[in-house]
Amino acid sequence: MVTDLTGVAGGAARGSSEMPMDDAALVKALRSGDERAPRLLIERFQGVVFGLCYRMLNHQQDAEDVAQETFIRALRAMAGFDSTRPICPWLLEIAANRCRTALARRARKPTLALADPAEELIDPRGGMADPDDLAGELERALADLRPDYRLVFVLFHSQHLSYEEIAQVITRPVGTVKTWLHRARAQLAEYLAERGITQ
Amino acid sequence: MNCQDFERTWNERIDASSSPAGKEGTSIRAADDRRALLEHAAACPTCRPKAAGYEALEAAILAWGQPPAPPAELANRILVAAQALPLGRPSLSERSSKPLSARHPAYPSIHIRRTVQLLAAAASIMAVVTVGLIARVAIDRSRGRIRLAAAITERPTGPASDRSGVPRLNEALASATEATLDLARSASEPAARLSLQLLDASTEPDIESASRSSSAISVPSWDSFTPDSAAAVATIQQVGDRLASGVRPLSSTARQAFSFLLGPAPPKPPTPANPPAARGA
Repeated sequence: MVTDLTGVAGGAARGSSEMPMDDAALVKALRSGDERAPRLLIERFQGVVFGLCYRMLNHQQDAEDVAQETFIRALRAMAGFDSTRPICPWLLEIAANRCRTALARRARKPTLALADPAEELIDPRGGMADPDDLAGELERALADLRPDYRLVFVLFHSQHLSYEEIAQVITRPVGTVKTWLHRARAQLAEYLAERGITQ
Repeated sequence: MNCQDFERTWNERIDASSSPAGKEGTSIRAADDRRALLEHAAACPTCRPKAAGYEALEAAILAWGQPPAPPAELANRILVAAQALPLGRPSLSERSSKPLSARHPAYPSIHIRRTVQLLAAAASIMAVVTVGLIARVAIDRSRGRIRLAAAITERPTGPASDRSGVPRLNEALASATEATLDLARSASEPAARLSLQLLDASTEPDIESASRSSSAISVPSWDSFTPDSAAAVATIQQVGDRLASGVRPLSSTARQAFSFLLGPAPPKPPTPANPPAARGA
């Protein structure tokens, strides 16, 4: 799934037979109190927002909760939104902030909260890992990364945003985005090498 | 290729493989880059494990795939949650046409607000009544004190008030003032006579002469005694004369005790300074 930050393509108005509405028209409809507009906004961008939340939190229920919180915050703040901007980077910015907050909350929880072995994010086994479970190894390695590095990595490799679009989402310079992404890759590569994952 | 180029080339390679255009196939440049990376990894023991890790990462990203799609009921759940909460600022037309409780379910309804208003009004009335009762009790107590003062002076209270016969406050105050002045007059004149007798007794050698001299001083009556009258001046002059004539010479002890009143003290003789050799001895 390739994300289009303009919001018109890439899943626009999925499941709706009407003509796709661009971002400015959608914002105008939301502000005018059109009852269909919130559903249109959610259906158009829920895949992008939920995907980011899922990759950041690596937990289905937490991702759903954060996605819901993201859309509610967006709907509440729609009156102050600059309608000349595209909606998707703004939604992703809100979602990224909510994910960071959720991760910080999770870090403050006592260890007993992860008593369920299915929720353990880190593979407790030592030594050689399963070479066929590359995606699982990558997700476990991501859990060790700083949230900023993880966010940039997910936006680039999972949401397929460019450096400029990521800089727009995280409100940082492009150079910072490149630095964080390269550091994230270096740490992930080191983790995979230590785990004995080779190709 | 050095170690820095090694890192940069690997990142460029992963960038290209992650982009849609880079996934289409390997170009000649990518093949050259891969050959250079392998040569550097073979020659550099520091970068050799990094090369294995970057190769694993490249494969893991490709195996990572897409995140799962959101559940079908997520949109409905978000809409229900959004409708349960007040969303942003309403439009001007909505603000003017609908009541606040209708726009925001969290805002209390009109019945609750009316109940709160009634309770507030009742509380205000209770407060006013309480303050009035306290003020009434205080006024009654002050009137009782005025009646008591009028009874102590034992004087006619003058014309009674119009309705209840209770003397007015200014009449009671005037009566109390007059009684205080009478008391001062009756107590001051004997006190003045007694003071003169004590003064004569302390300055005359015997009691007979004291009684004689005391009779020589005429104490004016209270009514004629005003500070600037001739009688007052004459009385003060007589007291002064009697004091001056009766003063005895001070004894040596008294002179020594009150010598500071007689004149400046003689200068002290200079104290000899201790010689440095005596210090610490």
